[in-house]
Amino acid sequence: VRIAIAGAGALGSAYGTLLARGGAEVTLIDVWREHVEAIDLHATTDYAAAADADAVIVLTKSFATADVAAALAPRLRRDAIAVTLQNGLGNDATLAAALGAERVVAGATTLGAELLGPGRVRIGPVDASLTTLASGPRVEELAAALCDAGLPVEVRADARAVIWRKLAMTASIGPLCALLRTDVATVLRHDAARRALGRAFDEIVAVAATQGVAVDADLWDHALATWSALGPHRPSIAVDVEAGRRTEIDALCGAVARLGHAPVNRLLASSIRAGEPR
Amino acid sequence: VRSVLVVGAGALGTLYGEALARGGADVQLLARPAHAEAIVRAGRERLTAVSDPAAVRPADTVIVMCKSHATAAALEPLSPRGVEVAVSFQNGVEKDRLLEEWCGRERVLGGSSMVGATLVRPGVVAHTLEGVTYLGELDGRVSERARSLGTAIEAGGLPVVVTDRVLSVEWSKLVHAAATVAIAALPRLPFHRALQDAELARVYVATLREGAAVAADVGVELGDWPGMFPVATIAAAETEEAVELVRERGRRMEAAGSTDVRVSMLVDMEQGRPLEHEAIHGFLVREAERLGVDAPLTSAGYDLFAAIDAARA
Repeated sequence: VRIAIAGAGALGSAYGTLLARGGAEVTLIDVWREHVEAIDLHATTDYAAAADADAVIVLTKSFATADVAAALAPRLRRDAIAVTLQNGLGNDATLAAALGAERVVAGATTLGAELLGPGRVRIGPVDASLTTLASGPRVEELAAALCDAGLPVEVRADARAVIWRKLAMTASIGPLCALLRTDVATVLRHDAARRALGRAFDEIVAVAATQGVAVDADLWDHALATWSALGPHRPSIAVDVEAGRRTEIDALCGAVARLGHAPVNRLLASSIRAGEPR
Repeated sequence: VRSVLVVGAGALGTLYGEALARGGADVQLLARPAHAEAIVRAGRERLTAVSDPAAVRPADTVIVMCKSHATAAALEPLSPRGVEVAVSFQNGVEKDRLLEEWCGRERVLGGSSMVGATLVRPGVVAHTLEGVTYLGELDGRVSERARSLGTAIEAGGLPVVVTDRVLSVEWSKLVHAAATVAIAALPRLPFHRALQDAELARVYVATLREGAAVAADVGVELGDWPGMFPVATIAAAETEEAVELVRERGRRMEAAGSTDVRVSMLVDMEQGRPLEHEAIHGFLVREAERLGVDAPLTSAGYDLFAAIDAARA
């Protein structure tokens, strides 16, 4: 199976490395030339490389999805699929608008990875990760390739519950740490900060319900346990905000606030977005 | 006005103290030790300062200017005996109630200040923003004592407006403050940039309307007060028009070169100082709850500022 990966950041590079090790024919596509040249896989800055792919896994930042979709539209084969494992809401819709919904697969991943420099990535625990794919044409083929790469995979009729679950966990703690210019442990240590975190989280769960997605009742406890284990960790969105880089806030809190009643998410989104470079 | 005590004389309190001293009153500042000592060392005419509440001498007029969360503790050791008039130019409207509890409602004047000042170093204050000072009786009467305090402040060079609608001024400033800090302090932006941002301008308008609804329910009508944003007009306008009014204020600030204005809540955040969210959002949220008014953005802002306040280093 031939797989192209759009967006060779930390996660894209991790998936590319693992899939290639598992025997798939992998091409990484990214606009960062220095990184592309340093990767010891087949990598390019040219989206023409997507023309050969059976599946394209999209792992760019969510604000780049529209550009990726436009680049793929004239090149992707009719029978090829585009799979988004990106953060946030709306990536599948953006891809579907350019490629047609029948070629787009929604998904999510819990794999962690960190880019150490051009061509170098540190991959988090693979066995503990889970890649979720919505079922569809050619998805079994991709799932098999992921399995061969040692990545645990689940294929579900509807991936939305998983996507919202992940959203509740990332779109609450990350943006709050970013707004407070602090780390996870500090937020959890102070009642008032924890209360704001709980409100942001509850808003996301409530908006999910208005979208017909039920999030498990024990998710808050699970989230607290997960966050507690992180200690004085600064989520990447908080690091990006402090470094003045553009973030995915619009696909996280911004998307939640556009869908329903979510005033804390709205303030998180408007505050973080307004300070970003355009 | 013969003798004045300024409680919590930081930048703005000292500016008023200096004005009243210039105008002929004997002024004592109750201030932080370094500032008080610097004022004493400077040997200013009719202007002295102490840092110990026990060293405060009786005054006929008291002006309270400390940060709102410090008010109760600042007044507690002081005796209200001999005080004829007490006024506060602090943020919020709860300040008047705290003063009433200290010296009785009949001695309290309402007040609001549009003046800006910063402490350059202990003993030295810079007057950074020209603005009007509003004074008036809480019950709307026009009184001689409000006029004479106004005259005393004006004698020192600060313009004063004595009004029969001082509660409207206080509420207009409060509601504006809640909307302003949500768009300028949370994103940590200079004021002119926050105002020009389309989504932040929408947040300003929506938050302002929540505050206007609370004010209406307690029987106070907002006003377009000179020296302030035209909050009554903005709150009443169609949304798109209101957003455009807000963005235009930001463009005009930029065109006028006012590109270094940072709201005081942001300065407090950046310096790791306690925030005034209780006097601004906390008060509005509690009033909204009491009256059954919906105020989701004000409440969200309260939670986020409380989080920032709790988590500061």
